[in-house]
Amino acid sequence: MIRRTIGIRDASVLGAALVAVIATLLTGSAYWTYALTLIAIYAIAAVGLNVMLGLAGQVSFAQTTFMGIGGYGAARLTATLGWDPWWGLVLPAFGAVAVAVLIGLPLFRLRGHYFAMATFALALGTNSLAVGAVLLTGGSTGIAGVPPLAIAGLSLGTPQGFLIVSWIVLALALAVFFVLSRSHIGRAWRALATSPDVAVSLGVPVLRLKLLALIVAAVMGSVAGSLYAQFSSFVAPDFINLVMIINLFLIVFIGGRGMLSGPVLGAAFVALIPQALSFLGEWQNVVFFVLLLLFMLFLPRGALGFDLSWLRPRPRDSSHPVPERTEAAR
Amino acid sequence: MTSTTGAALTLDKVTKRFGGVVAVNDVSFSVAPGSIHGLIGPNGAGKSTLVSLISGYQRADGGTIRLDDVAITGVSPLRIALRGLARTFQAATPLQGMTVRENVEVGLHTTYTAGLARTLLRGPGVRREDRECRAATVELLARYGLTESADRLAADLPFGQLRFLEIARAIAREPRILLLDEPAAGLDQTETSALADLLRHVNGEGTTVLVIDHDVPFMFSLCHDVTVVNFGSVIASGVAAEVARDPVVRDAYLGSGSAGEETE
Amino acid sequence: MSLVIAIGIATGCVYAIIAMGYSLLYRTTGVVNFAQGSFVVIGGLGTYFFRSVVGLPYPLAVVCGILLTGIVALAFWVLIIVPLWRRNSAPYVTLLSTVVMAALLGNLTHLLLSPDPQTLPPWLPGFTLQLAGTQIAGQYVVVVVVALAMIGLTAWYLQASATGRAMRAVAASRPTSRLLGIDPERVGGTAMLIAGLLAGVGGALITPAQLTSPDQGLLYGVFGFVAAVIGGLGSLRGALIGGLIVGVLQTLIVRYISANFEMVIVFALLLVLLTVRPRGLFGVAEFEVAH
Repeated sequence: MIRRTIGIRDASVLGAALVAVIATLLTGSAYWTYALTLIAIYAIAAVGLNVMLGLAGQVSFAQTTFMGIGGYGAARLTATLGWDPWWGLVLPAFGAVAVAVLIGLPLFRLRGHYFAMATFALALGTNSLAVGAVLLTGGSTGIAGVPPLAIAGLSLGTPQGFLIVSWIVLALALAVFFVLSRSHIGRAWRALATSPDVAVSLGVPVLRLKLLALIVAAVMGSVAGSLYAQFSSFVAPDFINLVMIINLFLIVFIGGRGMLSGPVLGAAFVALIPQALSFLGEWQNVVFFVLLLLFMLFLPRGALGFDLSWLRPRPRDSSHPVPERTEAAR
Repeated sequence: MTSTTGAALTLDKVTKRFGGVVAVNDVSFSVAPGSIHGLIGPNGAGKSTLVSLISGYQRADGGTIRLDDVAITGVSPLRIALRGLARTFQAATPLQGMTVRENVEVGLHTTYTAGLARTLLRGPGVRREDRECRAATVELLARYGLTESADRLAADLPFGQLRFLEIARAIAREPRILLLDEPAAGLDQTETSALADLLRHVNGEGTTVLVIDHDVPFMFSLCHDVTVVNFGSVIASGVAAEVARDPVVRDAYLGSGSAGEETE
Repeated sequence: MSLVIAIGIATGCVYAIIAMGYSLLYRTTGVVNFAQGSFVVIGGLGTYFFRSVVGLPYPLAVVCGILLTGIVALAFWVLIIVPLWRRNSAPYVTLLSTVVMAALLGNLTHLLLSPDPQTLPPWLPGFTLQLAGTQIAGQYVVVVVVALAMIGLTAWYLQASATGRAMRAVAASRPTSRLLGIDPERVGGTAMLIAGLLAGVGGALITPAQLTSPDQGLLYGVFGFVAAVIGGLGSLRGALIGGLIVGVLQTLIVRYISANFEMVIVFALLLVLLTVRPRGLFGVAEFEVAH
């Protein structure tokens, strides 16, 4: 449920995040600086997915493809061609938009399943392309030496610099999400998410709107990928593998799909919980996946979102059966 | 609401088969622009199929459908909607997870010209469109008696109010023709009467209205012209009062009573 | 070349089995189950587990491996899909749950059944086939024969039995079939069980011919899905044809181009297919159009 104003949960999560960032800048904790930067980067990609999934109700596994475009694009433009890192952040996004349109135009005409599965194949395909196309992507070893952003010659490549840049970009992404969700576009997205037939009857251009959502998601995914490349100073196929694909969904679901603060809360979970669970060793992933399934089953509004409406019995297969005309009604 | 020009609708030998069953058989009739036209028939007579065909959700196997002399057979439902055709659905269709107000606002989506960039930049243009949308919504909600429920979830509305919401939502953008699929089904006497008034008002603003239903007294008191279908074929079509007197119609459908009396 | 095609046909039969599982479940319940490929892996590595770790005689181990797969499939249905249905979850949530399940099963297989790729003894020891001057493992022939038999058996069962009729009813309309006294959850569970058992057979069949590794589930799943889509999602005949096409194509690509590009080319093929003829070869057009 998108609220008109920022709800309590969103405000508290975002407030807590802001406090955490400021506190980290002041105390200079190396661990938290690193962790919070990573959280921000994951969250940016997740906001993109949240637009597709949470607002427009479209299942797209293609987020990692866009991250790959952003990451490898940034790497090639800056490390290989030596261009300014800002280009590495901005240019790949255009490529991502082009891919989004190329994929979306044919695939959005199909039922949700086909689109979802095709994007899944796209994501896995991109991952294997990253491994196989050695000339383009450096294969399994990837591309190293990706330089960080700089303003007027002053490098932002310090841990604090990355922290600030990534959270500013995240704030921008969240602002975009917020504005769109409250706009007529956001309403149209929600309508087509559940009732595309009705939306069409109202003249809502469903195809165009789905493309729009994908484009927004593509830009966010690409920017997240570029930031990641510059933050890690290298890219390798691993950062867009199956685990990352599922992580993004995990983030959106645990955070609460459709909620403004969802990606932030979810990213915090996904980035921090492994520390807590690291004692489980190789069972970590299993626990993660089980957690995700549990969230999908019991907490559709994510952690701290407590939607227990599923406990209320609802008629199956329809939400409003048309009542039979009775004598009394005449 | 400003006035609009009602569209004319013509069906010419329209046919639709599902496997071996002919649901719509060579159906032809005309809806005069600006009129209220009723399509009556018992359940299974092919009425709902006709609605699907006219609005483009299904494709006719034969014949032509024209909206104002422009053929719309085989045109996508979105394009037909953008040509000024609005419809409601037989099943209740609240937009899930959205409030009553938001439902109507979606109905006004086509009144916006702002794209992604302008929406994000929140300039004066899109803010004005938002204001206009809000104002139009408030007015519609008032007319349809939904002001108090404005911020409730549409799915939580009582049935009668939900049906009114669906009409408000459909006509918000001032379409030129409105198709209603069994709007009176499930409504009590008071609501049916209010529905008739609302539809007369919509028609008064210029919109052609095509109502599909099987409540005979409601239809004959509301509609100027009536087309009667049975088993997928037209058995009579014309001015309501004349059709009511048509012996073929009375035998086949109205039974021993005449229109205007309560039927069984 | 004929060697490559022969192997392609055999793996194609396995894909056909997977595709059949997809189509069967989709027809009956509208659910696309991405864990279908993982079931194949469980069939193969489960058999390995029962034979090499538990120590059962080979035929019994095969049976146990297949049963294990069936149980896992059914458990997935009962514990995850049915509750999601009951909560009226959006279809994409169900789809996502199958993807997560596939990943989860991959991990569990790795941890519980075998961390490494494994193979099994051939079903007919010493049986090899002479083909154009080379010898290929007889297991490939076994794969084709048994797979075709299973597919035929399943198709016959669906056509002739009461359960099969019930499945067709649920495929047509969930609420209506409920009114007819058919329980869609039960029927869906049966479809899932059949799909799982079939996949288990597939795994037990192909592992003696090739290595099966625990993380292959999603790969099988994607290829099986492509096969199902090529043949037409929901069509059983299409599943067979689609599977064969994908199998032969894949082995040709790996042999003559590069193993690295098999996913990319398969994806490109899928994209082209979905653009040009989404209903596939034998599918029903009804399923295609969204807005």
